[in-house]
Amino acid sequence: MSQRIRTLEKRLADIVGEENVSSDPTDLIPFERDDQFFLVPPHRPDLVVRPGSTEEVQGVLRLAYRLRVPVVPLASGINRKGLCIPSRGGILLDLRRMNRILEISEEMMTATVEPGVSFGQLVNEVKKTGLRVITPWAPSTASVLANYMLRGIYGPATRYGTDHLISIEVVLPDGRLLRTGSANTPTSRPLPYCNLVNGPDLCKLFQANPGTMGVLTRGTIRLYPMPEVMKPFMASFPDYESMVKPAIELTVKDVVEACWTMTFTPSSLRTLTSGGRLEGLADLFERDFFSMWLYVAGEKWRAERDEERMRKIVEEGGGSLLPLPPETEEEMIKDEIWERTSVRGWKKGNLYGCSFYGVMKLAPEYYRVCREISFRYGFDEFHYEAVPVAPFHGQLAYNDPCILWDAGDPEQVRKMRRVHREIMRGLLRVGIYGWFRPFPGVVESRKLGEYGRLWRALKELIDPRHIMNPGKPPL
Amino acid sequence: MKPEELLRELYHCLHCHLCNFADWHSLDEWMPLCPSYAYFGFESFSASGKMEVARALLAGELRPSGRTLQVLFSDLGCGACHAQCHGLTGLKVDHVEVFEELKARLVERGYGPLPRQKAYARSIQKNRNPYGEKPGERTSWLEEEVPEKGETVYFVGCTSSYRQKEIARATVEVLLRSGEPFALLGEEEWCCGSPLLRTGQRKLARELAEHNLEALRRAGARRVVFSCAGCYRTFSRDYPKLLGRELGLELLHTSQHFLKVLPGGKLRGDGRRITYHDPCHLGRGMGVYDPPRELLRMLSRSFVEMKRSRENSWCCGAGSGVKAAFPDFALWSASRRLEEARGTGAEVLVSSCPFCKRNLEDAGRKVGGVEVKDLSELLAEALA
Ligand SMILES: Cc1cc2nc3c(=O)[nH]c(=O)nc-3n(C[C@H](O)[C@H](O)[C@H](O)COP(=O)(O)OP(=O)(O)OC[C@H]3O[C@@H](n4cnc5c(N)ncnc54)[C@H](O)[C@@H]3O)c2cc1C
Ligand code: SF4
Ligand code: SF4
Repeated sequence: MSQRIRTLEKRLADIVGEENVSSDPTDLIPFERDDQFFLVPPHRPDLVVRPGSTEEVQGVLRLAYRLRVPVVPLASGINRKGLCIPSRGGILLDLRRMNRILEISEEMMTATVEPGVSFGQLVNEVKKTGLRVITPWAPSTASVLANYMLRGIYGPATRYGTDHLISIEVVLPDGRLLRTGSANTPTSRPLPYCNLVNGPDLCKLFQANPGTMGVLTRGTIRLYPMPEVMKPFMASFPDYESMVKPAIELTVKDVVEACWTMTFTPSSLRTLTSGGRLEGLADLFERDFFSMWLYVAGEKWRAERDEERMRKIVEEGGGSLLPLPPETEEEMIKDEIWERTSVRGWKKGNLYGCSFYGVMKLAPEYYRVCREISFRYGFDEFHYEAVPVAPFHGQLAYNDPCILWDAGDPEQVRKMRRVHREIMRGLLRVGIYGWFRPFPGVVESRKLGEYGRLWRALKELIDPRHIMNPGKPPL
Repeated sequence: MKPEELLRELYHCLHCHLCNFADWHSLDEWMPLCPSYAYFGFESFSASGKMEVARALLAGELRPSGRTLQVLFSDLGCGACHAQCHGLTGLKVDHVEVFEELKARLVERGYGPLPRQKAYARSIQKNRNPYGEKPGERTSWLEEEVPEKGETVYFVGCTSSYRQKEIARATVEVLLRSGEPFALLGEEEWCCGSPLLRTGQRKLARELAEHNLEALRRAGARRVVFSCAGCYRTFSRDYPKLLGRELGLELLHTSQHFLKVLPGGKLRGDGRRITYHDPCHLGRGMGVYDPPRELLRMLSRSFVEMKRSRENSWCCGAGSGVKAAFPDFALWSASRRLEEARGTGAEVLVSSCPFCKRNLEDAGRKVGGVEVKDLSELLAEALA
């Protein structure tokens, strides 16, 4: 260990306490790679620091800024796509000690949380109020704030969209504290519930920036009413094309809260359903299974009306609603409102995804391109999903070509690098809106014209010494 | 598993961290479950962190440091992580086996175990027990005449023989009352080897296993009853692996044996509110959750569960050589458990492992508020 790191470690210990800093390789190794190691090369941080408060985060950043030491924030460390890999070393800022739910306001339908608060923790508290947290299909340990800050994809995104963050408190790279929205209005009480006041909504400036602009130390998020009735359905279709029109119509007419078009090859279905209630389903298919997973939800009268509308739209589109055993129905509801934890997609060991936003009507083409590449490299456990997330026109869709694979096999690792490059090229050829999240090696701001230039200039303005998560977009 | 197979499998940990928390759906509360991560706080002390450390060690990317030894030799082997991860993710290893394998490899290479863990190994070699006690005193607690040969042998274990003698006494009392004949190995009972196996010291453990099985053969044993969850698991799971053969013996924990042989209707508790702590070796280690509960329900109408129970049980903090090498951590973990027990309104916290009792009692001396008892003790009182 260099003298520089030793000195830095001492200074950091003065801020957060000796027991919350380490530079021992054993403590650093767990942060050096994630399951995207085949795309984002592993790199160790020089130190791990575990602050317990906003003041401590400020202290750490002030020091790092002065000494030009890179800082990589980590809220729950699940992110799978290299976003927390300290590609230039420096400080890995593990925020998991900051795990307080500061407020759940039933009146405002908001929760204010620290970055270490997980979805599981919040869902469990919020459900006591009868309200609902909009949740991703992620492990319940995922940080609410990191996920909402990055903008995710959520079970009911078809109805509720992908942005649930109202305002944030953020420590800027030089240690200054910024609060966005109404928390700044000089009144007698801090009110973090509104983002529409006093000028531009600066919260959005920090969204989808992967820890590159500062460290979020708290955030106020939206909660929603828990529907009185929720009913899941699964419809099968003869091919991808026939799912497009019904998916758009169901979205535009706001008939369902969730509309996931999902296609599975028989071998992926076999792996995904193994050991579960739907085990054996794959044996029914010789070719891909084209399905739509739908949730009708709301007050009783509305759910009844929407179910009828949904049935009509599906049938007119050539789909057939499948009879669901009550246990499967129950599990699907639990998944949607997080009454159980499930990470089935990882049954094979690893899951490759290349998520992006695309045009719903082009989903069949995306699917075909990605499937062909996947099969060409010998990966037949392929599935594809496209979810409309913009109720006003129904065309904007989250898409994810997924491959179940084994990262423990070096040959597969080599192939997967090529698959990834080809899938990216293939999708750009078809035409997509853009990539889901600012993943390194995926989003290149230099190819984004004036938008990219302005994004970099903003980064320059806020983090002129480039200490925040270097190596990640926009730089 | 061969090293290359293990290495390949380690790539399947997706860092989801679900192994650090209890199943919050069934508990209706978000609660930590990995004591070493909760206490030490660094990712390296969590199961997924240790998977990465394991990967780096196997791949030759990490030279073991003092911290590496601290991380691995403070692992409790409680298996809570495995209980959460198993079936949920694609990771197919048994976490506890990986951590134990890693410790064994380090010891083979001359790293570890920690000084106090080495010290008890020396005592086991010399005295056949980890406590530095004389072999001749193994049955000093025994007041009755018990034969040395018989089809059913009560394997007392070192902790009950030398430290928690009241458990040995109570177990014998209950066995006598049950009317079923049984024997004790006396001085021929040696440490089962669990403290060695959990700290990577496999060589000596094999010798102990061979001796104990030979002693049981000479005693004419067909059935072995254990009041120690650690001995029970070691015989059941480790001996066959260590020796490469089935043992040909019926192995039972006292809770299973007593449930069979005791007349349920005659059990009368003292009416106090009771809660039960699952010893990790018995519960997650061997899947024995119900027999102790069935007995406790017979004993008390006010039996209550703690939130973290069965697969979601919080470890007492004593196992895998942790109490010897990290006494503060061990007591901290036990204190959390006592607080949880107190939270149920229970007056008695019952376990069915002498080592759990020892650690919980030690912590109880500081925090107080709830009495710690072994299942055998309650049964002996009820039958008196
Ligand atoms: C099995 C599985 C399924 C998933 N499914 C979904 C899904 O359906 N929908 C979905 O949206 N996501 C999904 N994810 C991703 C998951 O939701 C993660 O929450 C999300 O990617 C963020 O990761 P994290 O919370 O662990 O944050 P981290 O990995 O800790 O951080 C992610 C990024 O945010 C930055 N960051 C973290 N905290 C802060 C902070 N306080 N201030 C500034 N920057 C910060 C980090 O530097 C990093 O760049 C899934 C993940 C897995 C493993
Ligand atoms: S050990 Fe299992 S539960 Fe824990 S992080 Fe790895 S995959 Fe997830
Ligand atoms: S065995 Fe217990 S202490 Fe060790 S990592 Fe798993 S849960 Fe934590």
